[in-house]
Amino acid sequence: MVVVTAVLLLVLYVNLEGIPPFPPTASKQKLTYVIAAAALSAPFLHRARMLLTLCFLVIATLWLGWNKLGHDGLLGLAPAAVPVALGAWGSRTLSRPERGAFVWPLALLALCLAGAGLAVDGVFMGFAQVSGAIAAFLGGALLVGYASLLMGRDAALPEAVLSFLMLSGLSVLVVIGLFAPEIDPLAVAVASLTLLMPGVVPAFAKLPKPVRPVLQAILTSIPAVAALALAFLAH
Amino acid sequence: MKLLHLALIAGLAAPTFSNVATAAETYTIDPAHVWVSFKINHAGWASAHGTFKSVSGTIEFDKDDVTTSSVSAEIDPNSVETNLEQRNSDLKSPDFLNTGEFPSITFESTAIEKTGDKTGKMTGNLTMIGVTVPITLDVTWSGLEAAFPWAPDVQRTGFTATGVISPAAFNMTKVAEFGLGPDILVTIDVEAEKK
Repeated sequence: MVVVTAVLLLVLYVNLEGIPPFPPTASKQKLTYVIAAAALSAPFLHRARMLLTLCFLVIATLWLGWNKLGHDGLLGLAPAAVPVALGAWGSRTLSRPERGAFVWPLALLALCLAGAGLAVDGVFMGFAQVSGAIAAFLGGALLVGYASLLMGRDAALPEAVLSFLMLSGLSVLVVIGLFAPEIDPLAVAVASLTLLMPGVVPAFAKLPKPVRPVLQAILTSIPAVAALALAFLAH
Repeated sequence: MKLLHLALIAGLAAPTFSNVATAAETYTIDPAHVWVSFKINHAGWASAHGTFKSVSGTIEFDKDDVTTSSVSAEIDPNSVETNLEQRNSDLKSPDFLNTGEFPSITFESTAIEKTGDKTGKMTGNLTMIGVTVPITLDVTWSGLEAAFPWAPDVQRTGFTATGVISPAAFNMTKVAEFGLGPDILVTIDVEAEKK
C-alpha cells in the first residue's frame, strides 16, 4: 500500500515539477528523492517512531536546505525547526487508533491545505500545487473512508501509509517554509500544530459514528485556519 | 660569447613579453551604469521585460587582440525588477530564479572571437540556479574611451551585448507552464572604468 501511494505521489510530483536531474541541485529536485526515501523508511518507523521520524526529518531538512545552510548558516534553517519538532512529536500518536481512523488523515489534510495556502501567500506557486495535490489525494481517501463508514464498514489508511504521507507532506511544508520568498515563518510554525491535533482532539465516542469525523475535522483544522489568517494578516 | 648572446636575447625578449602581458587592461563594471535587461514572450500577447539592478564584475580588455580579453560578472537575482512587486517575488521563488538557494548568477567568459572592427562573439559559462550552461553573446564595443569632466583620471568605455538563453537548459520547467518563452532575450549595456 505504501509503494502504491508513493508511486502515485511521485508520478504526481514529477508531473508538476518535471523529472529531476541527478545529482539534484535545488531543493525541489531533491524532494523527489526525499519522497522516495520516505516510502522506503515509513514501514520501518513504527519502532522507536519519534526518534526515527526526528532523524529522518532532520536529515531531510539538512539536505533540502543545504544551499541555504551554506549562505545563511543554521539560522537559515530556523523556519523548519518547529515543523520538524512537531512532526516527530506528533508521530507518537500514529499508532494509537483510539480516537478513530480519521484523525490522522484529517490532520494531514489540514496540514497540506495550510501548506498550499501559505505557498500561495508566500508566492511559491509550484509548491502550492504540490501541497494542494497531496491534500486532494488525502481528501479522496477521506471521502472513500467516510462513505465506507456510512455503509457500516471501517476503512482506515494503514499506519505506514499515514507515516509516509506525514513525512512527505511535512517535507513539502519545510521547502515552502525555507524558500517561498514572502513566507511568514510564524504561520508555518502554527500550521505545523495540526500534527499535534490527533493527540488532543476528543474521540466523541458517545456521538453517532458519522458525526465524529466531522467534529474532529473542525477541531483539527483550527491551527491551519489560524496559520492562514496569520499569513494573510502579515501582508 | 654564448653568454653575451643569451643576455642579448633576454634583453630583447623581456620588453616584448612584458608588452603582451600588459596589453589587456582591467576595467571594473560601473554599477551605476550597467543595464542587464531581459524579455520573454508572454503567452503570445507581448514581451514581458525585466532588469537586474545589482551587477558587478571586471573586464580584461585588449583592444589590439580581443581574443585575449575576458569578462567576469556577477548578478544579484534578488535585484530583479519587472515593474510589478508581485511578479518580482514570483521570479525570486524556486519556480524561477530560486534566490533563497542560489543568491547569485555568474558569468565567466571562455572565448572571444573577433567578427568586425568593433564587434565580436563572446562564449562563456552562465551559472544560474546551480546549473552552468555555455552561452554566446554578440558584443559591440562603443569604440570610445573617455573620462567624465569631473573625474578626468578615470577612463571609461562601454559595450553592448545581446544573446538568447533557454530556460529549459536551466531546468526552469515552470517558464513554459506559465505560458512564457520559450527563450529569453538578454541585452546588456555596460560602462566600465579603467583601473
